[in-house]
Amino acid sequence: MTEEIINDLNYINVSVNDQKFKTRPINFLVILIVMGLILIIGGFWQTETILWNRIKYGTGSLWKNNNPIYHRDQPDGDLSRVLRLLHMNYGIYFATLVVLTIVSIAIIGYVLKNKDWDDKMRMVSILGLIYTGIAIFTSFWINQSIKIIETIPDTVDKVQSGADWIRGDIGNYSEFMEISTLVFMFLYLAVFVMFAFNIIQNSPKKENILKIIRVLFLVILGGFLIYFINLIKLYFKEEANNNVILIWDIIGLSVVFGLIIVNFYKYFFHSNESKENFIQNSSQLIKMTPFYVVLIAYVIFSLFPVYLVIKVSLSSYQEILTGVSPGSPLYNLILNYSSVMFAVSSDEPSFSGALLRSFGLGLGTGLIGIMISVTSAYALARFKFKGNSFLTYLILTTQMFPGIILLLPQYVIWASLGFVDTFGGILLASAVGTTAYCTWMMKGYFETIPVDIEEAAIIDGTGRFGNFAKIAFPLARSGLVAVLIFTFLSSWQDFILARTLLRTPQNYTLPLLSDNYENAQDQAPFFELLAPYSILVALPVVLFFLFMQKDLAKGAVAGSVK
Amino acid sequence: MAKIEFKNITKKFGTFEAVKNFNLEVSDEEFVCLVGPSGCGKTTTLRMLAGLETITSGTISIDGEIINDISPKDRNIAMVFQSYALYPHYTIYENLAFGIRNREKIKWANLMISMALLLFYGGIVSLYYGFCQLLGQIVPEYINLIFVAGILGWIFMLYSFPETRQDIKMMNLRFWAMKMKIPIFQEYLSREEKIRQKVKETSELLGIETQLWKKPKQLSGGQRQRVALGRAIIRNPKAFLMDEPLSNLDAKLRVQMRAELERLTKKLRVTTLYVTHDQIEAMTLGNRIVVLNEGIANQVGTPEEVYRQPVNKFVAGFIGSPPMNFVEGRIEKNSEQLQFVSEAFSYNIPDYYKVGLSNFINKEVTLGIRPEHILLNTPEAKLDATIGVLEPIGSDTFVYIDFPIKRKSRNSIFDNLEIIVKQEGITKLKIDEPVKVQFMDDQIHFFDKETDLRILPSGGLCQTHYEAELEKQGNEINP
Repeated sequence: MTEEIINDLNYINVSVNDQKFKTRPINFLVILIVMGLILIIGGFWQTETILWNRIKYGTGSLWKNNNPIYHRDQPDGDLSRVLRLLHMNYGIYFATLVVLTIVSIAIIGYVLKNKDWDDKMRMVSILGLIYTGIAIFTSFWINQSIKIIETIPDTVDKVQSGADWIRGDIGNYSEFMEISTLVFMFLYLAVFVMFAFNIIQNSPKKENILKIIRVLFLVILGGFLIYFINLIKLYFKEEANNNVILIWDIIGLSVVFGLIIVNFYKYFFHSNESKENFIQNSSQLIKMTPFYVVLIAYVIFSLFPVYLVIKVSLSSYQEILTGVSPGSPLYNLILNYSSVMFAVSSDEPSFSGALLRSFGLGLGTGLIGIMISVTSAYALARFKFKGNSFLTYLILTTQMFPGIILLLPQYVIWASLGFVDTFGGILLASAVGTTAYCTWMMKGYFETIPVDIEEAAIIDGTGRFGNFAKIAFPLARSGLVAVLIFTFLSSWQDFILARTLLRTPQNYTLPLLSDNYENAQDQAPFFELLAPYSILVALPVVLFFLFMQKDLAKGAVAGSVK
Repeated sequence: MAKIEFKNITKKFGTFEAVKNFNLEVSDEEFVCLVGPSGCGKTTTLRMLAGLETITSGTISIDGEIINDISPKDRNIAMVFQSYALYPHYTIYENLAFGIRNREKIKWANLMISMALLLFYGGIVSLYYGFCQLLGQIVPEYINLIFVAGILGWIFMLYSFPETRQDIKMMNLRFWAMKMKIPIFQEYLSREEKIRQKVKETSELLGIETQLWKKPKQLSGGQRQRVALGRAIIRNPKAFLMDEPLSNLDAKLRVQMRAELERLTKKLRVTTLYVTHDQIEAMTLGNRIVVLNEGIANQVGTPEEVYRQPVNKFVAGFIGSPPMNFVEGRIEKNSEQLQFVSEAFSYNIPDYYKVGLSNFINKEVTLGIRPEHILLNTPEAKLDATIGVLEPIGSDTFVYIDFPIKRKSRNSIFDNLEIIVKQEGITKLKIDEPVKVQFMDDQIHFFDKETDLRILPSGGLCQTHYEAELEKQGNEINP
């Protein structure tokens, strides 16, 4: 028996060390594609389930009184639905495990091939975090399946629905899941140990290795602890039920602490060549600890609302009110987000329409802002004429008044022009509000472009306009992006102007859509829809910043002059 | 390939006169260096020729055509800037092609291409709509999102369009041009082919053919300078204007690039105006040198003329490294022998200078002698001095010798009269050693103290270029 296991381990070891096993970027790409496909298929599966429910329980709005999830505790709950949910749960669990396994194998391969020790360390830390995640994940899914089993009412006719059979099946499921989880855990551990030995055999400095292993075990230990705590909870089911919502907190905290631990140790690994260095570093660490503690506390404090919103968006209405979770977070995720995005109802404005209008408003404002401000800023920055500086400061002066002062007269003017409750009207209003500041901003950007380049272009045969279009305009790209972001954001999040000028729901922009998620009087609003709505509204802005931040940084002109 | 003529050029910035009555004729294929200290107006002169500065008065003509009111783009002149001034957002290929592309414009070509692409992509979207309608399907509600994505994609495409590789652009264009046979496209294609040929030739000439798809910031200083030169060469301009093109390079690269530049200009044979404050560059590169000071052209001449026969003290001091030694003193006549008497020493004036100096007896003059024209410890050496400082630079040694001043007021080391001597190789002299000094008699210059002009050995004073031109014009007006 033991020999067989050793043989198996050897086999894995050989396959990992095999020459053919090469980690190239293309392999990672393939893995990513596979992961993506699995997620997409899983997602389709989930959506299909939702649609199936939709067909069964009637069309229309998904959340108001028609949601099957909300009526799970009713005695006429469908057993096939429960079975479906279970299948789904196990499918998702299994798919996740497969993905994580592939990723971890890829990481192991990468670590074995890579010669850079810093990279190796980073990867090993990620591996540790992944295993921690798997442990938490497993316990969570076990909890979930048991809770789903409990939703089967006792009053259901045994003969008609085959409830006994289902129960037996489910019992098998949960046992199988527990066993398979343990097997997975030990398998991972075996791979891990092998991997550690591999490092010991091949590494140039043996001193580092012990520390590596120490970190790994610290990270894994956290995962195991949480796993066992959950297993214990599982045996006291009632307590576990009440504390299920805490699991997400535990995951969040463990990730944060894992990252902190990894970072602290990385700090050591970077420069410890000798014991003296180690002592120096540790004393420095002790000095810096209060600073870090304060920083970490602040980070947690400031990120907590974001975390809360994400958590709420992954829960059901019941879960928010009672703390007991009837559905899986992935299920809730797809249900909530698709409910917000694809709700079709004649009396409510559609999300996609509002999204389109908000996008149009943002881009339109940006384009008008750029068209006006860029040309005027170029004139102010490059041409010498009388009253140049006076005009510049005059433009700045308009920014001294808050926009809300202008709201009433603006409304009167807009109304007399017939612009109220039209898209063009609000576009014009938001463009008017931002152009002056954009001009001031662009002027600064144009002044940073060296005149030499424009003179070279003049000699190369461009006229005044060609010079502006081919040299100054492209070189002020970072400025343009800044202006675009500024205008886009100001019109994207503008509530007051939109509330004043827009009347009919068919013309609403995204910020006005929050009306949709109000419940009946004296009842809590649909938090589980309000949260995904607010995330969806914030997401484009975040993405915008993410992709444009390269342009926001300076250096567009680098290399041309000197 | 052009003759350039500056006539009475004056440039005023407010009340400050940067260039005063500048006159110069540059003949075809000539390499003229404008040299002078910073702020002397040499760059302003060049910029006026390029059209980047307006001309206050006077005329500039190229091949007899007055270009005062012609816009810079129509002057067909190429300029190389001190700061390279490459276009950072274009590849090297596009940087080189920029001039040709601007000069040989094809009307509406870019617009036509964008319209074609717009129709193409718009067609795809409308096809999709039509397909939905055809199958009797309701157009899905997320079509709005597709539209947004399409618009964003379009913005992205337009954003990245000028930066795509020319090859890829050409491939697509060639395909469509072959298919559609639109005349504008054909024209565009032939121009692109021409540009490609030109860029290939130029880049091979300058040895940058492997760098064509890089951006300027990826190149080293020398390579950037070559690109800047290439941008000037590629258009076959009438004249090159170079505004201190080598001063941003480090010392070693500068020497290397100087030799390359010389080889290049000899090969291309284009009229060139070269502005520099480095007199070595001016001496090595130029067919003629114009020495400017405070907006006035002091001397125009070949490097040898400027070196051997400087018109005044400024030119004599500016050209040559280390600079010419100047000793102030007066001419005295002692028993038929003319003598130059200074605080430190007295010197017998050689016979050939006697005629010239006979008018300056008992007048203040300045003696000028170059460091390479002073000999030490020769049998004929008479003047006594001590060695103050030794500066060996390998090939030569600069010896700073001190003449003690007779009426020494205080006991300072700076009160000595210091003269630099250039000796070949490494000398065996030692600091504080007494030496005998001899001036080479045929290499001595005397300058009038009042006007700083050089006294001619045949009698009379030299004339600066500025004054000569003024006089010439005066004669033209009143013959």
